[in-house]
Amino acid sequence: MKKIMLIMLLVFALFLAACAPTVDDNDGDDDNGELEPTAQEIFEEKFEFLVDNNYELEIKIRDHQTLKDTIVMMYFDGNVVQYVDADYIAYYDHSGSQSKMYLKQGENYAVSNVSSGPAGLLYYGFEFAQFTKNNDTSYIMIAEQHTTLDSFIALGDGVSSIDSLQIRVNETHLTEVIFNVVVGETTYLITMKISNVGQVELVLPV
Amino acid sequence: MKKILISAFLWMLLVLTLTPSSYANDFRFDIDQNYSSRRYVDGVEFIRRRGTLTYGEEITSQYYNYIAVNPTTTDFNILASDNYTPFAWGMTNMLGQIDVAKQRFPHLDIVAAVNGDFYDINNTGRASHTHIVDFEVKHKGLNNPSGRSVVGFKEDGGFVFGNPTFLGQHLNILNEFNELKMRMKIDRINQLPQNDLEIAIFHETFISEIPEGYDKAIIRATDLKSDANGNINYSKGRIDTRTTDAHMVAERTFVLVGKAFQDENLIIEKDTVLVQELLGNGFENVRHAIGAGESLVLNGTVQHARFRSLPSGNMAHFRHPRTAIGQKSDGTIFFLVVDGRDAINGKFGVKYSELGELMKLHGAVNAFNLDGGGSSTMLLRSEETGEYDAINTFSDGNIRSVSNGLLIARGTLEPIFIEIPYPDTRTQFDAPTGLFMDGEGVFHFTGNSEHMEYTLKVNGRQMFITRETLPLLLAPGQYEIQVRVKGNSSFASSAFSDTYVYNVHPNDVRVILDLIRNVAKGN
Repeated sequence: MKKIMLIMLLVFALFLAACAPTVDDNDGDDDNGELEPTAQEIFEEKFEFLVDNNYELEIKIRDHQTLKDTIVMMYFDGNVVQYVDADYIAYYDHSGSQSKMYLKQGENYAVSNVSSGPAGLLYYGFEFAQFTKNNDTSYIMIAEQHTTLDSFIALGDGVSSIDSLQIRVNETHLTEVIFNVVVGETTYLITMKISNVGQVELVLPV
Repeated sequence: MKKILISAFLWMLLVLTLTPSSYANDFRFDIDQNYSSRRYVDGVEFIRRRGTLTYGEEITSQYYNYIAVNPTTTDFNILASDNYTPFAWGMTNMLGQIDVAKQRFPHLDIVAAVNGDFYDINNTGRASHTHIVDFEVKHKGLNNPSGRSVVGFKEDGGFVFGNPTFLGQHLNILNEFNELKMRMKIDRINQLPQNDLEIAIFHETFISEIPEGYDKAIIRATDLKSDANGNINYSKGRIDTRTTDAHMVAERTFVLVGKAFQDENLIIEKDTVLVQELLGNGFENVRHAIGAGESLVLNGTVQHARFRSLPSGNMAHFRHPRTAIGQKSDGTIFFLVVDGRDAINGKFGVKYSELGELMKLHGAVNAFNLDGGGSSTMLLRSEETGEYDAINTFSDGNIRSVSNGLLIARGTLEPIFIEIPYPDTRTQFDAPTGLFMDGEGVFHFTGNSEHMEYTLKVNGRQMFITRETLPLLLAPGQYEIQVRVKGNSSFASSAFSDTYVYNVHPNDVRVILDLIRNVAKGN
């Protein structure tokens, strides 16, 4: 009986040893002695490109009922933003104290002042705590956190809520922001696709 | 005694000569002011009347409606309407004919409509007499038009009436811009040309082979119209092939034969080939025309003598609902529709003599009877709903399908059938530039300030416009927009401009995009 108990103890000890985390896993040291980034750091790293604010953004709006898509493009280059909806083209320049809009009208652009303020689409303010990690390339916004987007919604007139927001990332940056927007009684699926990070070069019209 | 008799005779003759027709003197219309009204609807004068018509010994209660515009001094036009199907005629009520006209003339604003000519109601729906729409003589009219007339309208709004003479079938070659590239008289029908200068047309009614050796242009018909005797007097189509081989005329084709067709540029694929009657006697440049019935008023005189000469069984002597068209001395064109066949409700209808007097009462110097009875229709667009309301009472109880009608439409008529040189040596206009849509949905472009006639193309559909700024009311969708300058006798049409792509978003999508744009603006 004693032998049996000893064998069982050994087996249990082996099991515990097998399940115990390694030293590396515990303190983040790698073989070279450097610290592994935390999950929060990894998350925040994906948004660092927004500091330079240079990328291309495709915005796709899908009507869930008709499955019809509307696609517009935005290009960001520092303080200059370009909005393209077919042949409707507008530039927004936030470099000076007074923001300006350049609206394409035929061969020329009409310039007008626009009220300036804190620019940035909803993902500029995303924080790690708002999300749960779905897998290495996607995060899902915690349901209660959707109310933090109310200030963004308030910029529009008619959007009542946003839900089911998730983001996708690649090795270096945020690639997609996907969410539902409710306008009146209808829900639309918005897909914002980020690409060409650091590659956009906008020149304001003369 | 002889002198006394002669004096008495002369005196009686003088009295008879100076006394107008007792019928005319006995005409009176007492208006019921409680019911009658006069107002303008989208620029169209509209009078609604109820009253008592006294003519000679007869007194009747009458209801009628009147609409009028002056096409010579305003941008109103009178258009002929129909809904004829290709290779046939047809009947459609005036609401349907308005829909067809909106497709034909999308740049015009149709305000009112009346029924038109008498027609083959039991069979084909073919109008009894001449029918011209936008210079196309779909029905040349009757060879012996006893008791019938034609009323037509020129581009400047001028009114033409009477009966056209027939100057023969003519070949009209229209280029892709509807400019008249060439007009040639057809010398022979279903017969070979007799020399190198003659041209001939062969229809599918020709059952033999056209011999080889002759230059032939084989035309694929898009429409053919036959008269009551089966004669094809209106042939329209596009070129299929050219050949000198022997040829049998296939169904829904026609063949032009003659030395002239050796020229391969004379008729090209984009051209429209139109063979139709050339009309004379004032109808040479008529743009729209329909057949009419008896003259009611000519040069200010009601045609009582003519009415009295008609047999006692003629419809002229019976009361029916009636439609009539009149021309005033200032160029105003007006229409009158009198209700009838409902005596219980005081709608007796009128005889020709009474209708003529009513037309004269409203200032007609010339007036003509149109089809009446159950065909009588007068529609006027409601300013409140935008729908076309029937303003007369239909004696059948509902609106009747008719062959053709006349429409009152506002806008500038597109210049077409303009004669151009052949070969075309004109310099081309420069294409418009700078297309854009502003935030209010108003379309802008830079065209030709000295010749502001353009063709606007939206998703392939073309429309004539005369402005460089115009609101485009478009349903949600994506639109490809182009413009070109229309040609004239000196300059050829420009190429189309670069395409401007414009998205009209549904309201909800616009809300979302506005939100995104607001962020981009930095709000």
